Amino acid sequence: MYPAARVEGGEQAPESFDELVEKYRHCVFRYALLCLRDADAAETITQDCCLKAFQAFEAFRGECSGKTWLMGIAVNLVRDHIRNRRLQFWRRIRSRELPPLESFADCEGLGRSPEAMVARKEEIAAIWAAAEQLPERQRTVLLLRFVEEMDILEIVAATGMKEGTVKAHLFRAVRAVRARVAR
Amino acid sequence: MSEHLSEDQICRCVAGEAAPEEWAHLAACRDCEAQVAQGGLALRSFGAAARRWSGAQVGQSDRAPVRSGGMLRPLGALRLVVLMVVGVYFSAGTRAVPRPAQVALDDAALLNEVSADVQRAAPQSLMPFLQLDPAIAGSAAE
Repeated sequence: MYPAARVEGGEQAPESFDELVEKYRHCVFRYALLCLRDADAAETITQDCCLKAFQAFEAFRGECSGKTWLMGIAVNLVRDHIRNRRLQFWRRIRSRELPPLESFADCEGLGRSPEAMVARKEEIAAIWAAAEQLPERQRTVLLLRFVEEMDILEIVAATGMKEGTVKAHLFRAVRAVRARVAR
Repeated sequence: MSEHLSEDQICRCVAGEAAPEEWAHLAACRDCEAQVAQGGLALRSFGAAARRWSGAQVGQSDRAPVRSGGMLRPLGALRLVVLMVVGVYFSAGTRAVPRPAQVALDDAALLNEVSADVQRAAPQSLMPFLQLDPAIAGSAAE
């Protein structure tokens, strides 16, 4: 079971594996989709992640939050998937067309200015393009930090990197993204 | 720290990992504070857009059939082609060996045609000439 006393950040402890998966399955899918840009592959990763989590759930001692634990499995699965280049040709052929990410930008705080909205969309598109060009570990840290809103210690737990390494990757990723946006 | 923050320092602030003196500078310098705020806002907007974008794909993904491997779609198409070829082969085979009931029907139709030909006054090829001369037609009928 899930020992509530060791869960960080006051997160409500899931009582069961089903609850854990139901609560964070979409985070795993989102992370895989952002890394792979292939909805089918992301769905496969999500299913594999749930399976691995189910197999390991008895051994989970709650050293980190349920989300961090699940994201750690997802990070490893995505890494393995990216390194397995044998089926890239088929993946490219069969991957579904994804809508542009910047079309999901919100206009909060922009008033009614169409120019501001266009500028925000361009900014988001530039960040999205920059993220694609980042080395794998920098991209992982960037996505976990700004999409999954995990703090440094959670990223350390999920990726298995040292704290200093995570900070260095995050700094380089932010610098690369800002350079791309500034172009 | 009287000068403005460098680009690297701004990046560290945006990443949330600035040193205490950099935070102190931000509290006093509106230009640098605005740059950090702008950088943070861009990344937060990206994160929010990514969450909405992914949410939209979850709906799409739920509608799509669940697959467990990368090669399944090409293999499925290949399987369909093989099934079609096998189907065509066997349907051609059933046409080559007609069933007994069909043979009986074909025989009966052939017998009817022969019977009609035998009862005809003249061969089919001469029938137009019989229509030209009613006398011949009459004698042929007798």
